Amino acid sequence: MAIILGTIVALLSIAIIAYPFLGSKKYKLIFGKLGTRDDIRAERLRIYSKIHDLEADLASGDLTDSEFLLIRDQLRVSAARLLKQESIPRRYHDSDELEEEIARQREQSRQASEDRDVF
Amino acid sequence: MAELGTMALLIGLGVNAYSLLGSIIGVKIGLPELIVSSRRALYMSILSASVASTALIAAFVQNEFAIKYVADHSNTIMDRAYVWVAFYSGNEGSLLYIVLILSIISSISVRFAPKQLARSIPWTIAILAGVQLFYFFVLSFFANPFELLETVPAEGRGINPLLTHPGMFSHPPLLMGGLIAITIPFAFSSGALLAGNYGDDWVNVARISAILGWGVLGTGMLLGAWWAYTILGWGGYWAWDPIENVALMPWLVMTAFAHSIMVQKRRGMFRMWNVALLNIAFVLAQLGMFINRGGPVVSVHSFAASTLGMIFLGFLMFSLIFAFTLFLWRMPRLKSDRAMESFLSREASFLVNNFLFLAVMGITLWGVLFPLFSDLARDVSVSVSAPYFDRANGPVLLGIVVMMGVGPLLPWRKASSRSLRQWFIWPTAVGILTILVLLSLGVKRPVAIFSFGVIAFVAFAILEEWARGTLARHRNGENWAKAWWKLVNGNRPRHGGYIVHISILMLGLGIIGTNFYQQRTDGALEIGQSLVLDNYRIEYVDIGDSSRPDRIAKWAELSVYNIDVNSYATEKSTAKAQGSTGFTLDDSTLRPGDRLISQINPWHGFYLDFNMASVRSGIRSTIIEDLYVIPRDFLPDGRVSLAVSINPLAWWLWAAGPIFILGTMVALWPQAADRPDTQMKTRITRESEI
Amino acid sequence: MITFGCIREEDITLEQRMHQLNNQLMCPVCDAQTIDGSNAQISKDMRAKVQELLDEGKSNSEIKDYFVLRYGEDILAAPKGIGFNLLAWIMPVFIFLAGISIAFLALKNMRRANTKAALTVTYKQHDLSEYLKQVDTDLGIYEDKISQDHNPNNQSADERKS
Repeated sequence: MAIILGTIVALLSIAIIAYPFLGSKKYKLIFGKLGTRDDIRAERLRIYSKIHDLEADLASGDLTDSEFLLIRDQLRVSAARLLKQESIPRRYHDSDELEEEIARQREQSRQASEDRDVF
Repeated sequence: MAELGTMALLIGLGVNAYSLLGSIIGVKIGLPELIVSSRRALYMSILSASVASTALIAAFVQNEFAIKYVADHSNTIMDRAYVWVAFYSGNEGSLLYIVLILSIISSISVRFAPKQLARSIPWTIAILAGVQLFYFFVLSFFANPFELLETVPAEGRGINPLLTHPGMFSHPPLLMGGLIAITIPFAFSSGALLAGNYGDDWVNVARISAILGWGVLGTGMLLGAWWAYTILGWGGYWAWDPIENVALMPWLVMTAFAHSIMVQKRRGMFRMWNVALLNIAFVLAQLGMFINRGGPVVSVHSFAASTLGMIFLGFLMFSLIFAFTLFLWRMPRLKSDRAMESFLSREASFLVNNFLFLAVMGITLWGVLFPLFSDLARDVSVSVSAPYFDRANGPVLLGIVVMMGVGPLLPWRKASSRSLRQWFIWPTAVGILTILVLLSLGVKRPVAIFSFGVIAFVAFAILEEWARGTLARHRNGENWAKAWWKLVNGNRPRHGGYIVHISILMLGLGIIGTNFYQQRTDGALEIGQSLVLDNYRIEYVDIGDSSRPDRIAKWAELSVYNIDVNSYATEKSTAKAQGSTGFTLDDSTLRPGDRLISQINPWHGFYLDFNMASVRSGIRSTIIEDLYVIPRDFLPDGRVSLAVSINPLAWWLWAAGPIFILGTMVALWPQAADRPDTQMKTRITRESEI
Repeated sequence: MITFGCIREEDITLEQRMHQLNNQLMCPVCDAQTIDGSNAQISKDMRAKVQELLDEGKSNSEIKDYFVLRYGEDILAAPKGIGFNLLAWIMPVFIFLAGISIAFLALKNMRRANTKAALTVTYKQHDLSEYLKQVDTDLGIYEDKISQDHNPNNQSADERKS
């Protein structure tokens, strides 16, 4: 009885694990993707949210005025760049521009993830 | 059940081995099917772990004493509700529990990881599978809970009596769950590094999983302390024993991480710190597993000394080497985006934070390892216990509390002298005022007084910020409660953090009260006699007996009175002359000012099969102090030997627990998409309709 | 209220000394417990002995020495800060100092900002001007509002926008 159950567990696991090889679904390597248009727009909207948070920060005294203007300008520009990206499709460049790409990705994802947590 | 369980363990071994190898190979040769398949294998680990766990629980329920683990940790008289506790009460069962939890949270975190992490996920999966592989390997070959006995005993040994208490339903699982949960953020950060992803995409996942695990671990430790206080009956709640320490150390590092990660999110700094903190926490968690399984250090909790200890040591070493090789290899890419502009900035305060938490961790680690070191170096064994840790860690912990107040008051980047004055003046004034008030009231112990001042400083800083924010909203017409709640909801990580800080302050109050101002006395009473300590009188009314075949149990019915100390002046001065703090009264007549306030029934049990005593203390608690009574012994001549203490502010220790949990939940709750500002909302909606 | 719990007579009685000592001596047969917390027979005997020695008028260190002589150094809950064991107490100081040095090094490291990253963040404004305009419209940011927004008092963002 126990052996039967055990065998069922084993077979079930193997079946689920082997499925990608047997199924007809095509899998693509998604390494190169930078993000669809929707993702980019979602990021831009998050930047808008973040600017709103900045205003709250300014109101509560957490930021000085000059700081607020400085950061807000940076964010406005990032939002503008994303807006530009939405209209012009981008290509992923290969490794000789790696450093630049890293920094750009960092900037984007940092700002995208900063939206909710103006700490 | 045993065969099913063992098969399930071996299947778990197999799927995780496949997942580990498949992820790595799939990435290297660029075969997406293999990557997906390896991810599914990770999910299948849950199946193996749950089947094995269910088999073990079923074995307990059915009293299958042929299985050694079941025979060792249960018996037929045992209440069925304790099956759950019995499951993880021993070495093998706890390992199974750990891998079960790990399999579940690994799969959840991978399933819900953001898409941007696509490149690093296979590596994360490899790490998660690798850790699970280790546990399944140990379970299958070195610590099999399904090991059979040669001859089947008719009855089991029964469950460890110390575990039959509500606290034990949750303390070990939370503790072990919290420790193993550190694997998740570690796997995500290491996965990103292995994939060559130096961006900050992994930060959100890491933050959430880290704080969740940290909250669980913290709650587990608090529950353990509460359980020790009420059940173990040695009169305290934290002994700095190696097992407690080994849970505390990763928790401290994760606290530092939870703060430090905000700097990475906000300013793109501290990247190296954060990776290093996760590495250290993960390695410390493995150290915890090692010491738990019979490492060289002894404690109230250690399960068994064996080859198992050596295997865990090996894994610990491997994790250490792996994590730091990866760190050093990728370190050049982890440089900060920005510079630290000023010492008077929130970034700098988080840096100080990191270093203070690591200092406490380091000192604790040193204290834990020193006996071993002394043994190896000089062949002389020494003990390092509470007095050392209290003295060595105390000042640093106080420093952390100071930072809890200073950090949030400093702005990002650079504080102007105007902002310094504006934000610091009131809290500092309140702190100093508190110290002066305490001094004028005649309170002694300067260190404690200073600590109270610090607590007041931090508390005021938090309340002031809340007051200002709530007031601003209140002006818009919202009522106070609603305004505050909206304020908190507007920035949950921050305000949830403040709630957690408040819980730490409460904890601090309790620690200072019980450590510095405790009063103690002992006495042996016949029925009718009373023991007097300060303004409490404890009368021994009757003895009760709740013995069973497997245990001898007695309890003392005690009446607690509040007294007017003047009525007892003569006895008091006699006692003082003799050098005692408290004294015994022979007769049971009450005196003017005596007021009955409570009845407590502390209990003392002795378990014959385990040769172990268990005590339940009698506690009468108010927010000012606890009256705490332990029956040391029921003497053959009919007297009961009592140890009585007055623990000031102990209530605050336990009240801190729910606040801690609340704060953690608020901090973790995902920020809602809608904003109170309707204008902004319409703008965004309009935008998204395009 | 807090103070009520903490104002007590502070003369240190013999009994208080006994409790302090009991917390500084380990139970030889238990797992990491002091004789104060343990109920083992040997703990009870040791406690009685401590009481006896206190009654004889011995000092704290004499009492501790008595037990060390009979049970070894590990009977003490914390090592005496002499000789080798001084290392136990000195180390926290070293750890603290090491930590400060690391913190300073980290600070120095951070002062060298990653210029590469900074470079790529610099933008060409003329390329983006039309997009910037769109962003500003979305956000309701108008040039003259910025001076009005300058408000160090705690008005909420809502209030300021109206």
